[in-house]
Amino acid sequence: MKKIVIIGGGPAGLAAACKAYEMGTKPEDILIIERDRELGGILNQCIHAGFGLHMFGEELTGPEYAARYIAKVNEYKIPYTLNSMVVDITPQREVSYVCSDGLKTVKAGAVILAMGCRERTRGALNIPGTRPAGIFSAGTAQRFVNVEGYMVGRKVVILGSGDIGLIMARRMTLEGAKVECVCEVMPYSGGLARNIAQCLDDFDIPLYLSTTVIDIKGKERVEGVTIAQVDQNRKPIMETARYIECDTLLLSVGLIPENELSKNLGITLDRVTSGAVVNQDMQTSCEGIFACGNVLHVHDLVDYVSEEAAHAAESAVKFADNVALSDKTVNVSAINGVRYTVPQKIDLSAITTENKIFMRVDNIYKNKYLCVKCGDVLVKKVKKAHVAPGEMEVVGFNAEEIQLMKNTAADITVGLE
Amino acid sequence: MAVREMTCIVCPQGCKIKVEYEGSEIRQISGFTCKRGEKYASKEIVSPERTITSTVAACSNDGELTLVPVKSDKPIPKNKMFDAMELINKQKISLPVEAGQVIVSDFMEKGINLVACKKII
Amino acid sequence: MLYDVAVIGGGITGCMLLRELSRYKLKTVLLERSSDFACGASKANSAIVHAGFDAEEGTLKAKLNAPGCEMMYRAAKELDVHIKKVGSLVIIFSEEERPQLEKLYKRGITNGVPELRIIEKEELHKLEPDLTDEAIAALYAPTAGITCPYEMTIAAAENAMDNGAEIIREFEVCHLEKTSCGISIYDNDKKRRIEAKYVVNCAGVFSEKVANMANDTHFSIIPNRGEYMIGDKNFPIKPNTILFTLPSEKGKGILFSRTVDDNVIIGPNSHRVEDVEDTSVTSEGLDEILKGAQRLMPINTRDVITSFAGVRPSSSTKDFIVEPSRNMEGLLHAAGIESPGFASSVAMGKYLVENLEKMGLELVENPDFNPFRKKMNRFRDMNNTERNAMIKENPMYGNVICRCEGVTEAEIVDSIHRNAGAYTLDSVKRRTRAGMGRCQGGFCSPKVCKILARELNIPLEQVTKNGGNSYILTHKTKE
Repeated sequence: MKKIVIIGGGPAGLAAACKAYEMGTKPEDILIIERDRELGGILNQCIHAGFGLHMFGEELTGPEYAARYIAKVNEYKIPYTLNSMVVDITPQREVSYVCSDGLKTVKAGAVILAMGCRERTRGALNIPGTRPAGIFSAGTAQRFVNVEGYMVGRKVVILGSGDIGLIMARRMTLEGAKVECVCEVMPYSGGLARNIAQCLDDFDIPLYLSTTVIDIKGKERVEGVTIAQVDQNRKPIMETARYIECDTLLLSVGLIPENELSKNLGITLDRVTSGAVVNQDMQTSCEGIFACGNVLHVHDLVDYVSEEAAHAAESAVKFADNVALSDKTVNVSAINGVRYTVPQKIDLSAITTENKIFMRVDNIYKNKYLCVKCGDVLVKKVKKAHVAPGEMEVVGFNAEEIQLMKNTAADITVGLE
Repeated sequence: MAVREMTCIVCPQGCKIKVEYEGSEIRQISGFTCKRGEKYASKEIVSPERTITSTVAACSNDGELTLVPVKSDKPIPKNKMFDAMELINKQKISLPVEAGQVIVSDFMEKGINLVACKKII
Repeated sequence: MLYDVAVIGGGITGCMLLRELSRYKLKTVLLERSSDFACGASKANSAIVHAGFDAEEGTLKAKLNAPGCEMMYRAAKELDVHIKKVGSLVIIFSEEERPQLEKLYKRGITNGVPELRIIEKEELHKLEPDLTDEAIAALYAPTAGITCPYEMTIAAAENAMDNGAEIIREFEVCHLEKTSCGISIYDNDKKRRIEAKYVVNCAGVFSEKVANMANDTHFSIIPNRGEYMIGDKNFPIKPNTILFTLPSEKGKGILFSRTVDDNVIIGPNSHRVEDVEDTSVTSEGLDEILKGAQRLMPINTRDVITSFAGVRPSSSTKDFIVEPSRNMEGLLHAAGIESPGFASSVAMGKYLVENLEKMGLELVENPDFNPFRKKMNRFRDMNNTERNAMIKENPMYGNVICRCEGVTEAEIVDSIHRNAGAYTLDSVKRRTRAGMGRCQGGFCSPKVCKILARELNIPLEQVTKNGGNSYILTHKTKE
């Protein structure tokens, strides 16, 4: 029996473990289960800088960011098991995992899901053409280049302008490859503006918006791709088609929370985020099971992952200590240009100034107001000069706004006006 | 007078900054939202620089090859990125390595170090 | 060395024939151009054991399909290959279509398909509650089933090897020459030569090309591409049986079915292509099969994880062609083996052996023949007690490599070292399912590559996706 079992030793799991300890949990009452050979998760292959500005006030590389938390885990003597794959979690919070010692089951007071996400694949996009070697998701290529030390190609086209794709454009270029272009089917980039500046513009790599790959050529290895512009309905405009010779196609077309365990557990998932539906305590529909980080919704900054994980750990410890958590909840709905919110449920009687609502918008908007309403009552209106799907938005509430919501006691909507 | 618009890269916000300048003399900077952004913008006109990150090959005792992530501890001149890569790829170090350990001192410029980003035993 | 029989082509027909031949005291060899078996039509098809009502009465297809269906279930049992008799339904949506359904029914009865009947709306919707309301009746064939065609092919090859057959891969037959004691077979640069008394052309889409090497030009292969989509295990709607729309001139109609691995399959269409190897998918084609399947059930592409296409080796005679060469003694053609070639393959193997016997091949039973092959241990199918026991015996079972499909290091190593084993990323995938799940190898392919390099004792850069020039990595970043 453990008080807190954390599935995943990446940034979310590490931050959750540290917070659980800092709240007074004995280290031997915590267990981190990690499937890889080391802690740190995907940060280990993110060797570029850009992490931790918000959390530590300085720019760290992925391994450095992870090391800050790993150092704490070691200092606190929090136990973890590596090369261990969780195969089952029951609603009674029995967690089974396999490792080279066999199959183990541990009963948990509370479980924190921190499994992260995976990349969308070519299949999910149904890109036509042949299926030769040389098509990689950007993250797989990143692992080959940064961890295994092998290049995946010499002439590269990247489809999708997600941050990993942009980062890999620079990385492959620095390691001697020629990146021909980055194509993005949407009229705007899915990555951060600064990554377009420092990963593409710095190396004169063109970014073609409203453009996609319509054909892949090559029987054994990729020989080239045909790209074309798309119309408003994302249908290719054939007159604009042109062939680009290359030996590699990298895909950076989105991330999906990895919720296979949560599905088997019967947790209610959000169709938009593909993560669990949670309340402000980060508790899922399954009692005593909490979720945080990219398994809940895909974040663009690891700093927010750590913050969210600490929050989930706080609730999980309370739950395991039998401290009453929120129960009577109202729904939080995303409307008018907002795609989703996390949490999706809020207990108005328990909400504090610590609680925040995270969200993403469905398009680029300029000069809009982000409006939070409780029933028909406008609680908060924030001016937004520029919002984009690639950049997560967040709102918090002051005491006055919270009081207003408590008085109104109705479902909440978040939308642009 | 020349005008250049740029995306600030010092933080994820990515502010759009406009710089008016003549030669290497900055006349006006607008659009930044923090001091670091303002500094970045003028630096970008006068002598642009970037932090470089990559990996260095390391040999463990049993002869197996591992990669150690490395970075320049200060930004290096932007136009020296590929020279820097060449030097980085020539390095071969032996394990163990500590995070922050200097791999190359006076890397590209005096006072800049290439340092390891991860402890690997 | 002189072989008794050489089989050209490691598809389902060639591998089932090789296994059938290994029942006898013969020196046999199979030549396959790819790095793995079932790389042509045997890999990319509907994965269906057809009951046998499609083939026109009196054809070889009709003769082999219905009995072959039953034989397939038996072979699957011997070879320990996953198969499920789920039954199939050919659905009609209007009374105008009924005569065609009745025609199929009668044909099925003539062909000897057991338990075949037409069912009406109420029963139909009870069997398949998610069918669109427009579905009014169906031809129900309970003996149809689902299986994994490449697993079956690989298992047949492995079992044949266990019984003494030889297999040479990445041998592309390019030249045939009559010799005093048989036929010499050369590969593309004439570096390698295999000599056999009898040669069977099971080259699928290339069977015309092989026939031409013996100056047989009286039939041709018309490549017909069929496109498919595969849906996630969590696909929101899954049929219980195999659902077909009515067949047309070009094929059996669009089907929507569950697969043995609990995914769903949608397809195929049928389009003539110029290149027999043109297995590209098109967005129009994928639209077409989606629209077809949407007539059956209200589905969308949200949970589609991959798409693929296969090329059917349709023959100019519209039937399977099994006949001795007209110009080269000792050569037997087995050409034009498109659907229901998979369901017929066990029967076809026996039929080809009979033909070889007629041509003079002497058959002496091999008393040591063992028809049984044990499938690989699958960690994900074990219960926790079994898992613990396996890990204790071999700790590599405790190292999960493919997280989506729950494939362990031990299974990957086993797939490499078995007879007819894997030596490429794709062949590991076909044998273990590592890389076949939702992330499509995103997480596990670097690990599988490393295991391949280690077990085969080759540098990582030499690991390929599927042989030849399908390299995965170009060079080390640090030399």
